Amino acid sequence: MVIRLSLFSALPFAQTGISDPNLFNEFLILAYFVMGAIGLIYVASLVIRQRNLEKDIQLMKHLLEDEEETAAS
Amino acid sequence: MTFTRLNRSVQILNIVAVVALVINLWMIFFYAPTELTMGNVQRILYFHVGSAWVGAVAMLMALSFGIWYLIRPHKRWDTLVVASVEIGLVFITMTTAAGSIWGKPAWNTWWLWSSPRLTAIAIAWLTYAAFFMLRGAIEDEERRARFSAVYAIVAFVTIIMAYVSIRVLRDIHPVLIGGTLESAQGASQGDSEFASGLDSARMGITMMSSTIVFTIIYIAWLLNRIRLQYLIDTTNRLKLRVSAKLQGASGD
Repeated sequence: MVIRLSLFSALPFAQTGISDPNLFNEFLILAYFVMGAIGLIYVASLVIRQRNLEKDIQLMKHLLEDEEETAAS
Repeated sequence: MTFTRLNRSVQILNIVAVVALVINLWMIFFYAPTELTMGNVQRILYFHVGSAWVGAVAMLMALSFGIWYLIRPHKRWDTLVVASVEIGLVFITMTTAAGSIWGKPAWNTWWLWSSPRLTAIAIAWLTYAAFFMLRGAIEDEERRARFSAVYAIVAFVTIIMAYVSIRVLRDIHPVLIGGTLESAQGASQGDSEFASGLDSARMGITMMSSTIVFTIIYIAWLLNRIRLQYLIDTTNRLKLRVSAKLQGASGD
């Protein structure tokens, strides 16, 4: 009974806590840096693709307008 | 939805997503308590779980849009399929990278091919990456859309495999919800040790907020991708008109 009680009282300490919570902080920083970079690369790809398409649309609209002006004259 | 309305929705959702992400980061680093056995490195899991959740949801949405395309073939559904798979793949990449980095201090290795979960997610990533190769290989628009829809439906098996693997096979990867094996029981036992305190509640709230924030980001990116597809379609239509004009001019 005494042994069981002493074991029960020792339970909260049975789980070994980390001595220094900042021990692996470089992995934490690396993980958030990598995840952020992946997200930013995707957002940048969306922005770049959108800009290129808008440029293409403007160019083709100019071409069509020029063609129509030439046909009219 | 008109282009102007879509543009406005995209702008609003982009702002909402950025604000939500900032709040979520504050919660992860200042609101959630430090975990006892792993220390601060455990904070990786808030993003890891959030992105894994949205990765799976995005692929489930791609499956649903694929089914819709097969029932009622319309360009809209094909756009949603490709957008969802693209975004889902970004989230799966984030999940895998974060998990691998967390694995180094936790398991003393970046990757374990003997882990069914890790192998299953690698298979899922490769399967969805191949989706874009398939689309690139088919020129006919309707055929490409049909094949993409079927592929998105079939490829979801890899996501189910990744989800089920840790619940039916012995794995080093922890099980967050439910489970039948010894490893899963260990995880739920660990969870119950935390369950009574306020710290546990804070961890739970932060985890929940991460999944909500990542879902908002998914919706924002989805709308951005739809807008991009609208521009691609407009460009293609204009290209056809220009080439027809130029051919007509050279024919004269």
